[in-house]
Amino acid sequence: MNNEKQPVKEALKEYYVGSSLSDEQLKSLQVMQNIPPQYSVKNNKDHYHVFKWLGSIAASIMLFVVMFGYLKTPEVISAAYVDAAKDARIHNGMQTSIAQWLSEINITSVPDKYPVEMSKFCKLNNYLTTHFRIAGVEQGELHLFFHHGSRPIYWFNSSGDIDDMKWKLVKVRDDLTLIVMYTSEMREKSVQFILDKMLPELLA
Amino acid sequence: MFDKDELNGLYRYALSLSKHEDSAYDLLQSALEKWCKNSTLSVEKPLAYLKTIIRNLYIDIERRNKIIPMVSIETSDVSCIESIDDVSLEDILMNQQEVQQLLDSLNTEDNELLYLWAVEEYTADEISKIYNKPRGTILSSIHRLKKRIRKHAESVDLATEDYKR
Repeated sequence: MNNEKQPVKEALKEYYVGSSLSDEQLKSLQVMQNIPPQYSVKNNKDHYHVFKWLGSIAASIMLFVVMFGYLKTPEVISAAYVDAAKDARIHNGMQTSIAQWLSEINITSVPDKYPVEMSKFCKLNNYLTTHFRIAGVEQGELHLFFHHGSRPIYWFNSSGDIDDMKWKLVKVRDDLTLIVMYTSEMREKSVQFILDKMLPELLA
Repeated sequence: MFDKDELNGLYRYALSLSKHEDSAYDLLQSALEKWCKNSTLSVEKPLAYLKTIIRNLYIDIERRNKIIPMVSIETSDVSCIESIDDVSLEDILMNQQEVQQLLDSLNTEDNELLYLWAVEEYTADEISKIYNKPRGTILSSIHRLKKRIRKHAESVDLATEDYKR
């Protein structure tokens, strides 16, 4: 160490110049600078974060779509409402072929005190259904649409209102789906009674 | 890619912060590692950028160890701007042992400032850009630093005289 006195700045410079990296340290740092960046850990972390964010965004979008589908009135309900309005003038009662179909599918007949005003096969959004219009004891009307067979995955057990009618979508069995639609004059208890009689499994 | 002289310059800067050779090397290594991983960044002044990385790394480490005396450079005792020429250092002489003692007696911020100002010969303007502080604050800090150096030199001289007697 130089013991000669020097002006402060010069002394400081000499002090720091005396502190240098060893050859080994220099070599190691120079090697480090030659490592391609794509092999670095941080880059992998960056990719991980990007994937994580993309995953979160995709999951959020999917959740939004599912929630939207769940909350929105299903298209099949709208189609049923339109069909009910279209067939309002038909009064064909319980057709023999329909009664037979009910029996084949193991659905009990409509209780006698509720007259079946109309029965027919129809298509709702390309799904074959059997449509009944049942009159209330004093007032109101109930529409039942049975779909026998596989159903799309986006049909959930759900309920709501469409215009002046209440509706319910019920997965009765793996291969049987029921759409219930009734006017506000129809008593809720009567609807439940009819359903319980026709489909006792709903009571379970 | 940084050459030998640049790497040594960065090492000395790290040394001005950490005061320990091993820690200075670790700081430089970590900073260089960060730099290499972000090599896609287009930086106008790579050396200044690397110094900032070193400084931030040092502050992070010391905060974790909770030993850094984080005295704000803008505290009231330094915020008044005085003329630097009031305190000249040209008449003060030091040997290497005294330099070592001086550096040991200064805190991290003063050491860093002294290195930038005396060794790298940065102007107050340049230092103010590094610290992101007003130029006047840096001038005050340099002024205070000079006072401390003078005080330190005087105390060393007194001690030497006492020893000679």
